[in-house]
Amino acid sequence: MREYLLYVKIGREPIQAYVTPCFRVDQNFWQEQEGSQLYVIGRTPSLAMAFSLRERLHQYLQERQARHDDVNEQAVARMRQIALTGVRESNALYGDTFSDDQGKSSSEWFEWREGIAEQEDGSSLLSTRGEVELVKEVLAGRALLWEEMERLLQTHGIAVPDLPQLLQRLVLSGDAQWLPGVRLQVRKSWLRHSLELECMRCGSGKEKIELTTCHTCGQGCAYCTECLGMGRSKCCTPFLCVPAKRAPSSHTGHTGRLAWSGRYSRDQEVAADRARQFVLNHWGRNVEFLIWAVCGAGKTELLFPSVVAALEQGERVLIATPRKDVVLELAPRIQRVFPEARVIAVHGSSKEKWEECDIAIATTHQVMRFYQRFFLVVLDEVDAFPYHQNPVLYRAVARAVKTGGRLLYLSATPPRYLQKRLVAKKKSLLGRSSYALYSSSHVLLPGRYHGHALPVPQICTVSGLDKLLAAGRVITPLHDMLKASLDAGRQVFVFVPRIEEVPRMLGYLQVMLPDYREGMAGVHASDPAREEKVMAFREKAVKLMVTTTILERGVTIPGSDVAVVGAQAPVFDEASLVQIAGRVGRSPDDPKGTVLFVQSYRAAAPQAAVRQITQMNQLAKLLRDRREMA
Amino acid sequence: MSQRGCVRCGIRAAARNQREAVVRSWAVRLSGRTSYAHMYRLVDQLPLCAGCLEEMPVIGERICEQCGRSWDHKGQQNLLESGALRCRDCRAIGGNALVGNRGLLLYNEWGKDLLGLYKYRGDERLADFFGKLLTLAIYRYFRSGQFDYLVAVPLHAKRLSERGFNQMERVAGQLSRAIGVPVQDALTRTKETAKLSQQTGREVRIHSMQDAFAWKGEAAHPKKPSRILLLDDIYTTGSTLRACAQAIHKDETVKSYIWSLTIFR
Repeated sequence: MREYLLYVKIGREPIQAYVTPCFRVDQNFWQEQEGSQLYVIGRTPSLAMAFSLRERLHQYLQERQARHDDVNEQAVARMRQIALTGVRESNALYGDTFSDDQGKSSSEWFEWREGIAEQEDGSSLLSTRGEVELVKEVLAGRALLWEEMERLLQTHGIAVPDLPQLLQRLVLSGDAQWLPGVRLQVRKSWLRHSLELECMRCGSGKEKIELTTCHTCGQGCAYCTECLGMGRSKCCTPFLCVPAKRAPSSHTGHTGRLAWSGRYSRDQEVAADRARQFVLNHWGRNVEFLIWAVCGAGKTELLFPSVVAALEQGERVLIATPRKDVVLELAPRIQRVFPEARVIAVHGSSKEKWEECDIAIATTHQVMRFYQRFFLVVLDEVDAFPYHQNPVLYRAVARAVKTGGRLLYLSATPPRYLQKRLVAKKKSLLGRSSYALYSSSHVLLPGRYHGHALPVPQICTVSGLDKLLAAGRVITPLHDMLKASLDAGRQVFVFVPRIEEVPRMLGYLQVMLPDYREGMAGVHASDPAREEKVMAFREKAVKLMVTTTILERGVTIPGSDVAVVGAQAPVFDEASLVQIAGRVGRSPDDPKGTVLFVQSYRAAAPQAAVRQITQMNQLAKLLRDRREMA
Repeated sequence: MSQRGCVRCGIRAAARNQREAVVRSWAVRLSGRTSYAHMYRLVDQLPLCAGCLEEMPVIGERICEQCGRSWDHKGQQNLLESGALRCRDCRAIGGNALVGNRGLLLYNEWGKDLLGLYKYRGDERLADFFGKLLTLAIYRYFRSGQFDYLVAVPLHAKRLSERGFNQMERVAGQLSRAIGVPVQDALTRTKETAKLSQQTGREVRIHSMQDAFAWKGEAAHPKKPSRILLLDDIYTTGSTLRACAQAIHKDETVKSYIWSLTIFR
């Protein structure tokens, strides 16, 4: 069981409290540095407790400083008192919060002892300078729990005899920072005091954190259930953040070589250049930028100039995307385009996730393990499932950016809060507001790369839709549309709101369109044959695919039409319907197609989606006209 | 169902009436020694949705008298001969401190991930779920009041500190609260053994488990022979549980009556 010692350094400014697992190292360090005096406050096996007390002491020191009081022996005695009170309060509150009756009385949750531990090993720092540098380099730019860090060092074949001592040394010299996995704090209020908990890794609050008696620290402990899949973040697990200090210097210059033979359309070129300007920081101190490009505008290609700009400065780039399949698809593509850069795919089961790189393509959850590592971070599909309304992931992504770095959002349907923050609106003479095509924080690409307009969905309201479906009655608009598409040899996506409705819808359609019985299939997220079915659809073996929202993005099938049955359902929001409509007409050979939204009553989302699509078409037209005029 | 939804698939509100039917059918099948109403309540409490509940691989009625292995399970038929009450493995072992074992579920894909999530990932919230499963198992196989106390199989101190919690201790706590039988922390693990998955072969396993446990000094032996129920997550070869039973018997003058109950068999 490790113990953490809390002490105050008095001497040269600033007067601060420190937490250390090995006091000897700190003693030596401060002696070398400035010869300050250190006063031990006490020690506890709970890391979170030590940090919470440290917070209190800082508060006290600040107050004292404001009064211009000297910090003397008396103050130290007072601080010891404060610490003791803190422990007592936490004990009581923890006992109240922890409902499990394990028979422990409330005073025993956190141990607290004053003075130095007797049997501290004499050796201060065993590792050589080379080892220290090596550890520093391996850990640079990462935010890891203790276990993860041990594993990482192991995979790199680094065995250090005194890891805590070494890390403490790094912390003191300002090269690293350590925190408890879960932070613990007593919040005081006039009504009642409460125990505040926060996961330092994912930022989740109390509702996601479970209290437990822990056998690792033997103290009252808590762990975060939100990021449990990536290892347990606990009160007693050190969470280590090491910022990447410098650019990887060994290989600058060539990594940014772009081997891409494709060509931009005029609009694409302008948009891509604006993004590049942002990365090069020609527009003031913006750190966030949104590329809003409609479905099928060629978003990935738009990134290339920005990535080149970052690489040429010798910096690292991260492309974060919500799903693993996208990571796997994108990584080889990026590698082909940047042949001299080291590209790695980082996802849960990837083997190269700990390797050094120039460009990392990662799933969003893996981004949580990075700390100020990348100069340019690109977030693909910000509106998609894991990011949307999820402060945890936004926080993780923001943490992966270096100080002074850039954050680039990429979306076809940016959520409202991003639009508000980054997209400027302008008002026309008639008072109708529309989106500005660009600003210092965004660029809008309203047209597709082939220059054709987006297909505008048709909405039809069929009252009693569910009953008609259940009774197997013909729904004329749907039937006509499907028949026309299939007769013309096109493929059709039929979207339904819920998994249970996939087989039901499939059965209904098989009865309704008996000629195409064989060419129909249904797929949903938990379907074991999901990949094969989607493959068959791509290869045109399946003509009609009934699906849930899982195929709403990423799947491109030339010559396809879309029907959404039950478009009023809450799973289909504006963004999702725009994405679904965006499946149609993506290839230049076949830019037109039909999109049909069937709703059982009038709902807001389909209408809003149609409005958004028409607006984009108008903007695209405006842009085209303007260009022709020029 | 709990607020968290189904522990296996995470679905929150599944079709209520559909689940009702599944719960009833399980309650009918499992209510042997206890009443239907009681079993119904136990099954209904499980935080599982209709689909997952239906697929729950509960071991059938035909089992080996000693180790609780299912006779109907595929691939194990060859180990059993018709007419025999015990399976071949159990006959090979012969007399033992451990009277017998019962397991509730077959160890297959259904539960593997759940147990992994609980043990290795450390999602302690699942203790509640496994506790409920064991409660159900107790009422299925035993009579209430058949045991004096429960003993969870301990972890080695080093493993315990790595993991932060003893998975069976948590489950035993839940179970004890449900059935009102006290838990006694009576055993310690004296030998550090490799992980189950890293040991190959029955012989190796049995050998490595020898004298791996010891009776804790401070837990005083009761005067009269007590009836003990050992709890573990899974019975594979049974060597862990037999070693525990032996450790209990070793220091006793009056031999206890020991059964074991596992979640998976």
